[in-house]
Amino acid sequence: MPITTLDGAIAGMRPPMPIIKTGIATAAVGAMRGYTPWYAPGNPGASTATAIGVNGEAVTPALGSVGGRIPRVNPSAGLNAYLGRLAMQASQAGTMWLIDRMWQNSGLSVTSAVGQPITSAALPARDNNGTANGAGVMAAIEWSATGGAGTPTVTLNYNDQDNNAGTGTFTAVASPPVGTFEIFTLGAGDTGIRSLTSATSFTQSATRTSGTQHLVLFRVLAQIDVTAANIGNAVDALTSGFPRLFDDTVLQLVWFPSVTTATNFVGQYIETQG
Amino acid sequence: MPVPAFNVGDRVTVLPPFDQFYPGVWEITGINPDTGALQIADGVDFDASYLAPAEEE
Repeated sequence: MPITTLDGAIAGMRPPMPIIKTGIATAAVGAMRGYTPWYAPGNPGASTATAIGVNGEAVTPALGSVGGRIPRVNPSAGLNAYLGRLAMQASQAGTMWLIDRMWQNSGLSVTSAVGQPITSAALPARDNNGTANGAGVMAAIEWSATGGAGTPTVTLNYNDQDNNAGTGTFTAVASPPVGTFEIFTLGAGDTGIRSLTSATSFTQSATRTSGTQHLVLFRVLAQIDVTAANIGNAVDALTSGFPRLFDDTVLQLVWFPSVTTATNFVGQYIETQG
Repeated sequence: MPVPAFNVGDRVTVLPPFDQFYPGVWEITGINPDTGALQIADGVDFDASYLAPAEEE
C-alpha cells in the first residue's frame, strides 16, 4: 500500500547509507555536461566498466559492474519504496543529481565518424510510470577511460516515450576525464527514450581519438543544489517530491560542477518504504 | 563520391544527420591540431565527409 501520510513516510525510514567519494578534476564546465563519481573510489567503492557490447543491458543490482551503486534493498512484497532524504556536501559548489541507472552498453567506437548501429536490450520497468516505455528516461555518454582531443558533435537516434523516432545531440568536450557524463538533448516534444533500433543510432561527426565511452540511459530521481563549497544541503520526502524507487533501482550520482577543480563529496541516503 | 578538400576560410554547409543542428552556411575556422578534423562554430569538429562546399549566391 503506498505511503500517503508524513507519519507513514517517517515510520518507513530505512537505515541511512553514507556516501563519501573522492572526485577528480573535471572536463570543462558546460551545459548538459556532468561528472559522475561512478568510477571514483570512496564509499560506496568504484564501479567497473561493463563489457556487455553495443546493444547493452538493463541495469540491475545483480550485475557485477554496478558495485559503486548506493546500496539499497527492495521492499517486501506489497510495499513501495520512496526517497526519504538525500543530503550532500561538496568541496566546490555545484548541483547533484541522484539518478536510476537503467541501461548501459560498451563497445562504441570512439574514432568512427560513421553511424554505429544499436539494437538496445529492453529497458527495465523503471521509467517515471514504472514501465519500460521510457517516460522521463534520458541518455548520456559516460567515460570509463579518458577520452582524446576530438570535439565532434554527436547524435543519437532513438524511439521516444511514445515510440516515435527522435534525435538528440551534444557537442563533445575535449579530453573527457573518467566519469565525464555528456547528456544528450531530446528532440522537440520528446520527454523520454524507450529504445534504440537504428542502423545509425550513434554518430560522431569526427573522431574522439581515444578513450572508452558508454551509452547510459537513466531517470533523474532527485536534485540537490550545493550553493557553496563545504556547505551541505538536503532534500527529504517532502522537498524532493517523494519520487518512487521501483524494484532493482540502481542509484548513481551525477555532479554538475561550477569549476573544474577536483571535488570531494560527503552525503547520506535514506529511503522510506511502506 | 570523392570527399572535397577544404581549407580554413572555406564556406560550407553541414550534411545529414548533423544539418538539423547546424543549418545554413558556416565558415571553416580551424583544424583540430590533434585530429586533423575541420572545425566550425568555435571548435566543433567535422570529418570532411559531413561537409559540402556552400553554393555562392
